[in-house]
Amino acid sequence: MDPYKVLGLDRNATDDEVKIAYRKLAKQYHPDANPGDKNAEQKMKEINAAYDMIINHKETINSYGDSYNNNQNSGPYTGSPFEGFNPFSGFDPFSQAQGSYRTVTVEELYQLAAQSINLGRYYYALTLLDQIPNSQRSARWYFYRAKANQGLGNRVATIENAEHACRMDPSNSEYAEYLNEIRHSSREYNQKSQSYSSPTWGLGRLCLCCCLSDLFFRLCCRGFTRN
Amino acid sequence: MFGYIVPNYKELSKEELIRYRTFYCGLCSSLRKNCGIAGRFSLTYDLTFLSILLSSLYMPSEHIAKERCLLHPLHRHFYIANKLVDYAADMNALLVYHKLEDNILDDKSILAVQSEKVYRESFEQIVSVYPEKEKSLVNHLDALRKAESSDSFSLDTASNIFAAIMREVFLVYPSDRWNQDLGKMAEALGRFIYLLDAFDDYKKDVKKHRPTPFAKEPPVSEIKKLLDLHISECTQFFERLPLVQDVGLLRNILYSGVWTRYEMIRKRRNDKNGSL
Repeated sequence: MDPYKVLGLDRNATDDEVKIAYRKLAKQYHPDANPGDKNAEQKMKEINAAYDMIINHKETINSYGDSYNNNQNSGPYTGSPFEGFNPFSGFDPFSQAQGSYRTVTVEELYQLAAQSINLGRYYYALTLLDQIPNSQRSARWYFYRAKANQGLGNRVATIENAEHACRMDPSNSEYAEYLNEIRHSSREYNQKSQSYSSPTWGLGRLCLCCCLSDLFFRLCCRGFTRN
Repeated sequence: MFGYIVPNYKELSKEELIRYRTFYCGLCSSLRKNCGIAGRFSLTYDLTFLSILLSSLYMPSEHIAKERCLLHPLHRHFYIANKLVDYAADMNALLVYHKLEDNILDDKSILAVQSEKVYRESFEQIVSVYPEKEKSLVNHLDALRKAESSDSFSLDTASNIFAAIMREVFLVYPSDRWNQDLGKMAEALGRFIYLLDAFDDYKKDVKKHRPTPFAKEPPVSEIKKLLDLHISECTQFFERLPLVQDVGLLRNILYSGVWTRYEMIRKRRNDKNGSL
């Protein structure tokens, strides 16, 4: 399917032109406007699919995980992600039981952390990294922390750790590229934002309503819950 | 928390300003219908933004009329009425009610107590229309309170909970094809608001021994960088939505207006420190 053709557009149509075309066609073929019309229904599916194809071909958005809503990894020590397969032949770095017959090396912790991140076990990765003593916390440590936090949706921790990794190892292109990716959307945003003059407070009061609303809030309410 | 999602008025065209006011008055009118006169005094700019966004996305049938109101007895103003403006008004009422509850719990402000009495009846009526949403809101607010009063108050944890609250407010229909992008947009905007609010209140919080996510006064440049991260994530998802109606106004708000409060804080700090 050629999505541009479906929407009646040129291949170099802008995003806004795509949206206008989508709206126009959706209005025409929407099921509410064509109740019971199977052809309209089919056409609407095509229009939706075409829109998705074009919009989803845009640059990929930084994907952060969502630990709050997904309830994944509710805390540290939530079981090894390596059930059934253990790359380090039968030890658990957190086990204090008798029978752990060797101590884990820092390098092994780093590797386990990397594997945990790949398996999506971000909390586990963080608790592994926490086992590494301060003196052994290299740029790699901060880089892995950034990735684990990204998986958990912790944006502040992601960027702070990514920046720290780059500061400690400025010549590492992998870390630099990673930080670049994180900042990419901010750069794009700032380009568009700069076309507006700086906003100033206090102008354009719409009406007495909003002055009274402001007063109401100052008297009754502070920041939502930080009390 | 309220009042950060505003337009850059200087940059609005005359038509856009009228349009913004039409929605603002529409929200006000809807609040008055549902919450009485007192409802009008809780009008928030942020929910005006929501009503414009949702109207643009869902294009509901609408009715625009002119009316005089108590605060504008001389001139009639345009106001818009549609089911999404009503929805935004309902969300406005829910959020304001919970905020008042919070304030009663914490410092028993007399004004808060009296206002709460006024709002209770309308609030209960609105809750009966959105029981699931109310349940989610209450859960998130509890989680937020816990996160904020914990010894390790983490900005990420708290702002992710607040993000979930915004998501709840923004998503109107349970299984709509735009929910993924609209939801992510709402969450990112929530993180932006939460951070800006924490930054704005830092000095007051420290003075009054209230919890703050910052260990020490955060440098303006650090906050700007984080705000950029959040708002740019918001606009990435915003631009995926097929918005045509009022998109200029919406972009004015998201690309410029949202920085109004930040600029004010930055200027205040610069004036105090005498440096940029």
